[in-house]
Amino acid sequence: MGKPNRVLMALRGLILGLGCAAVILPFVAVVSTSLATQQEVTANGGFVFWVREPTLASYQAILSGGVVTRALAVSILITAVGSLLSLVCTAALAYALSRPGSLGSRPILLAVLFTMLFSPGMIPMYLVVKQLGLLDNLLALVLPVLINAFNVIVMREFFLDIPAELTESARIDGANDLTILARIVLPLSKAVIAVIGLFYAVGYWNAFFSALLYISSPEKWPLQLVLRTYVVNETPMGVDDVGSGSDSLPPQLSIQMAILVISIVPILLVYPFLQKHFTKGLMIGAVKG
Amino acid sequence: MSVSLSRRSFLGVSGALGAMGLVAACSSPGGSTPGGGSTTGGGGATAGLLPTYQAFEGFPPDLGSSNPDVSPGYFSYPAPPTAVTGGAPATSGQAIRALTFTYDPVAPEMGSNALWQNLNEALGAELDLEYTPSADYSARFATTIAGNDLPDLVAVQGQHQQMPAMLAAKFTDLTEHLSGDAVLDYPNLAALPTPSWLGSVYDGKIWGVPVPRSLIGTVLYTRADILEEHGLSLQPESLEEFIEMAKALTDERAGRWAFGQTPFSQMLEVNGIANAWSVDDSGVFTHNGTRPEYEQALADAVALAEAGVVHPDGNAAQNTQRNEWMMAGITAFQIGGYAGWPKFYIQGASIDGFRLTGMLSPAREAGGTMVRTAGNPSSHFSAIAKQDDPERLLEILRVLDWLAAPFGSSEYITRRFGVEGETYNLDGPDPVLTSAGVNQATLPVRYITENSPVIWESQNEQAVHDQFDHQETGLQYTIPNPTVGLYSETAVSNAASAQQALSATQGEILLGNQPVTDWGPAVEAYMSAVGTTIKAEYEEAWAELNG
Repeated sequence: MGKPNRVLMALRGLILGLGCAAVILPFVAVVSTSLATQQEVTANGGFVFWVREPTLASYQAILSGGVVTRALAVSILITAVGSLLSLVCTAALAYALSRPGSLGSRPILLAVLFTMLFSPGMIPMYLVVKQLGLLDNLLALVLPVLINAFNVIVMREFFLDIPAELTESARIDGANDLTILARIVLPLSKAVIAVIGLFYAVGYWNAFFSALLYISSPEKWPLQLVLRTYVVNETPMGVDDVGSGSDSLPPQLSIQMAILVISIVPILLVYPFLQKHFTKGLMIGAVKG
Repeated sequence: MSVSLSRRSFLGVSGALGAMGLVAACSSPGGSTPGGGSTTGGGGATAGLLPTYQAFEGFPPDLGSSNPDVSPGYFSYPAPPTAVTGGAPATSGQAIRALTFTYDPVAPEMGSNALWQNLNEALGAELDLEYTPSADYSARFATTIAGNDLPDLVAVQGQHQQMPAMLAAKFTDLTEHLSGDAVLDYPNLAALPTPSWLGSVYDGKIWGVPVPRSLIGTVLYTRADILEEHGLSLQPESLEEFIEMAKALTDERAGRWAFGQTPFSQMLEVNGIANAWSVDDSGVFTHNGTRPEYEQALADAVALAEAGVVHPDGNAAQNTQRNEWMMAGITAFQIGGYAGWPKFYIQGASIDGFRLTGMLSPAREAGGTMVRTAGNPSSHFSAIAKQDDPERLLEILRVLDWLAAPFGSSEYITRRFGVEGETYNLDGPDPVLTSAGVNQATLPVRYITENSPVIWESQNEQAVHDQFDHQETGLQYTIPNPTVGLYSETAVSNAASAQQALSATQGEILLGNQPVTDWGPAVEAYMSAVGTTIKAEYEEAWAELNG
C-alpha cells in the first residue's frame, strides 16, 4: 500500500473540519446566546458567538416556578410509556402479519396500509378522543398514535427475514406464538426495535399539537407545548406588566436559545446508546436478497 | 378626530396585501373581523345597538386628551387603589370555565399560583382557565366548537366561515344585556371604548365582550437618542427629508442602517394610502391596491431599499432579531405593534441616554396631508356559551365586568399583580412584581377581557410623554377603515389563494426580484378572482348601513 498523499489528507481534513464546524458552530452560538446577558445580546445585535460573562438567568427564568420541570416529567413519562406501548403493539401486530396463515392477516395488512394513504383530520380525531372520554387525559397523547403503519411495515419486513426454520423448530419444541415472539423473534430483532423505538420516542418527545387539542390543563402539558409558549411569543413582558425595578428579565433571544437547549438535550443523550443499532436498523429492507 | 373602525373586515382583505407592507402596518395585535350574516356590524346602523359609553372618572390621569381615542397617561399608579365593584361578582359558587389564548409563557397551576388563588377569592368562584399559545388557538377553537363542549366563556379570535350562524348556534345573544343603556348595569364594561365593541356585532346583535386595544396600531419605533446624536429631526416633514434622514443614519462600513426592514407601510402612508379599501360618499369601494399611489409606494419602497438604507438581511430576519438590531444601534428604526412599546424599556435600561419615540409617516411633500392607518380597536372578544339559567348568565356578565375594572382600581391590582408581599411589592404607589409574581402573572386573565388601554411606565415620565404624544399626534391623521362592520363571506371563505398570489408578487417586487410594473397585472388578477366580488359585497353592506 502506497504512502498516503499528504495534500490529499490535508484536503480531506479541511473538508471534514469545515463540515464539523458547520454543525458545531451554530450549536455553540445557541448555547452561548442562552448564557448571555442583555448587555451582550444588545452589544452583538442578537446572537452571541462567544459569551464573556455567562449567566444562567435564562435557564433560571424558564425553570423557576416549576412549570417547565413538571412539563419535563410529563414528557419523559409520555415518551417512556408511549414508546414502550407502541413497541409492544407494533411488534405484536408486525409479528402476526408476518406469520403466513394468520387469521385475516391480508385484510388487516391492507387496513394498516390504508391508514398511510388517508389522514383522519383534526376534527374527526378530536371527536373520537372526546367520545372515548380521553380529553384532558395523558392517554390521549399516546393512544391515537400508538401504532404507526410505516413502523409496522418495517418491522414486519424484518420479521419476514428471520429464517422460518428457527420458528418452526421452536414450534416443534412446543413453543406457542407468544413464546416464539418473546424468546426467538424479539431477541433477534434488537436493531429494528432500537430504530423504531427511537422513531416513536422522538415522535412522542416532539409532539405538541395533540396536547394543544386534547389537554386543557396546563399542568399536564408536555415540555414542547410549554416551551412553545416561550418561542411563539415575540413580546416578552414590559415595564407596564412587571413594574419598574422588578428583577430584570433575561433577553428574549437568550430565553429562546435556552429553550432550544433544554428541548434537544434529553433526546441527544439517548441517541448515543442507540447509535450502534441505528445504522444497521436503517439498512433493514434496503437490500433484499 | 375620532376614528371608529374595526380591524376585522380590514384584516380579512388585508391578508392579500400581506408580506411586508400594508399588513405590517395594519395587523397589529390581534386580528379579527366582525360582520353579520350578510351585512351587519358596526357603523351607522349600529348606533343604537352598541353599548352606551360611560367613561370612568375615578382615577384622573396625569396626561389627558380631548380625543377619546388617545389613551390616558399615568406617571404612577393612582394611590390608594380603591375598589370599583361591590365585592365578589360570583355568588353561585359554580366555577367559571373560560377558554382563551396567551402571548405569554404558561403560568404555574392554580395550586401553586397565589395570584390565581387570590383572584378566585376576589371573584367568588374558581376561574377555570384553559388556554393555548395565540398562534395555535384557531385549531383549539375549531375543535372546541366541533366537540360542542363549550366552556362558559370562549375567546373568538378572527373571523370564521359562516360566523353569524356559528355564533347563533353556540353562543348567547347579549344584546338585551349590553346594548345601549343596558350596559350601564355593568359600569366597567360601559367604560370600554365604543369602537372596541364593533368586533362582537354580527347580524345586528352583540355576541361578546371585547378585549380593547389602542387605535394607534403599528408604530415606526425610533431610537430618538440616535437621531438626536446625528442632529436629525424626530419628525421629517416630507419624503425627501425622510430619505435624507435615512441616508444620514446609514453607514454600511460601520454596520449601521436606518431600517431593519423595508418601510413599505410608511411609503403607503406617504403616498396617501391608509387601509386596504377606501370608499367615496356614494358608497363606491376602491381596493387601494388598484390606485396609482399604491404602485408609487412600491416604487418608493424599492428605491429606499436600493439606496442601501435597509439592513441587507432585514427582510428575511425575524422581528426578535430586528428588535435586537435597533436596541444595539445597528438600525435606528423598527416597525412593530404598539403593544410592544413597553418591552423596549426593559431592554433599553442598560443603554445610556436611551430614548424611544414613534415617528409618523410624513406627507410626500412638506405641508401636504398626512394619513395614518388605524390599529384594531379590539384584539378579540369573549362570547358566552348558551346558558340554561338566566341567573348564571348575569353572574358571568358580572364576572366580566369585574375583569374589566379600570386601571387605578384595587381589582386591577388583584388581576395583574396578585398578592402584596408575595407576588408584588409596592415601590411608592407603584406595584412591582416579585420574581415569583413574574411567573404567576402570566395567567392570561387579561385575554378574557380587560380595561381600556392606558399608558403607564412606572418611574419613567419621559416614556409616558413620548407614548402619549405619539398617540395624540398620530391619531388625528388616522383614516377610518370603511370596511368596519361590513362582512364579506368571499373575503373570509374564498380569498386565500388569490391573496397569497398578490402577497407573493408584492414581496417579490419589494425584494427587487420583479419590476414594479408587475403589480398592475397582479392586482388585476386578484380583482377578477375575488376582489370584485368582495367589493360588491362591501358596497351592498355599506348601502344597507348607510341607506
